[in-house]
Amino acid sequence: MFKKIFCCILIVCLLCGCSGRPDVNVPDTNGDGKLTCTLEIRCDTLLEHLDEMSTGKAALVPADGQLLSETIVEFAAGDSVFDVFRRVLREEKIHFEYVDARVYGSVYIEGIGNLYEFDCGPQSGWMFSVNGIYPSLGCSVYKLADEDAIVFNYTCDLGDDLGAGYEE
Amino acid sequence: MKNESFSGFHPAVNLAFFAAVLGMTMFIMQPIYLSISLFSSCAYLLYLRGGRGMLRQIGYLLPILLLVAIINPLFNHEGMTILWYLPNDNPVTLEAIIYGLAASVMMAASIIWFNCCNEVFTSDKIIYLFGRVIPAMSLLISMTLRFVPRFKNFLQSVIRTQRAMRQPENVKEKLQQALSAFSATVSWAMEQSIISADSMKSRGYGIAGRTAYSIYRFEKRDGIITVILAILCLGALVPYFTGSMRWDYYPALTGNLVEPVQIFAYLCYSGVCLIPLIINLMEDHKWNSLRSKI
Repeated sequence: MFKKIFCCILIVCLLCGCSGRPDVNVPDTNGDGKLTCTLEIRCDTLLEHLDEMSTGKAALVPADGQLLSETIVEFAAGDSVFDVFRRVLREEKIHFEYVDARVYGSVYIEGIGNLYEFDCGPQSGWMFSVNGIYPSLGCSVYKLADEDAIVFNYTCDLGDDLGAGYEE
Repeated sequence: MKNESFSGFHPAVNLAFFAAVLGMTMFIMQPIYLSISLFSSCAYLLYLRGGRGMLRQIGYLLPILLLVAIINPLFNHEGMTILWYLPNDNPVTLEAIIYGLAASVMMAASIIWFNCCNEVFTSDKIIYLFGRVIPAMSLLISMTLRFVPRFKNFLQSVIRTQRAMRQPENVKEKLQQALSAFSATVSWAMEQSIISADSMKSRGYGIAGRTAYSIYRFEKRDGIITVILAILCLGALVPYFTGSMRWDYYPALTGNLVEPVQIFAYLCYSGVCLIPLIINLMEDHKWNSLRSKI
């Protein structure tokens, strides 16, 4: 009898331990008791290439190149860029599509607002920067810190036109 | 199969018709063209096979098509109109659903046209048309096409014989019987291929200077139908040259469907698709009216 109860308790403990969020310590830098970041989605590079885009896509590019203006978002410790991204875009009812690229251990954003990769040539697609730096990480792997500024940018040239090209 | 008059036309006319119809069905993804093609292919198959044959065809086609229509929005999330979200946060869009439907209609129409083609464009016509140009290939095609129903019939006769000797009692026995019938049929097929190879050799297959007998002659009515077919095809493709064929499913459904040019083209396209049916109905009418006078 005791053995059974003990086993049950052990199992419950194990389950709780597994499902609980791993202890992530993200320092609250400005000391307001909340973790916040900003999210912005832009496609300025497309404005210069409207005539090269796939059929029917040029009409989707906003005149100011801004799909989502800088939005302040609260997030929980341990959230990745993608967690914030999907939450905000669903709230704002902006279309997006991603694939879970298991090989790379991250998700890949294929399109935002019906603007897809390859819509402006074979080297086009979406990239994200945090605080102005383009990390060589997938957006569901990159963990956020307080006060981070996320920008999703469309590139027509593998990031060269964003100043994020790979160095030789 | 009843007396089918379109198959009485010259094989080249048959081929031209099916090539035109299949080509246009597969390459024009515009919804109205697709529906015209689907409806006329169904009507023709109904004429060729009757209600029961038609129902059987649809019975196994429908689930596949529904699957195609459902799968597309699950894996393709492009489109302006978001209907709801999948559990993994990817959107299900109206455009993806409609594109899936269009793709499945296209598939259905092509398969049904191929079925009609099987009834009309028989293997002797293949040999006749391509025997000179690609002799080995056309022989192979016609033998392969003939092989499938032959194999099926033989398999069924083996199974019937087995059943007559001993009714299987459980699933295991049934499976055993089916397997042994299959292996018997396969070895029969091997033997047959050797026999036909020997037979062909002894009759001098492949010797130079041989001619082939054919029962086909290109008559005046074949010429007339070919010209009509060509004109109607050109008429159906007019919007392509004037640029009003444009129809996009993504990112939003865009394009015109009822411009005057397009309506003209729809009529031409219906004409193309219904040629065999019209010929058949005319011949049937002629036949019936002549018969009643006697």
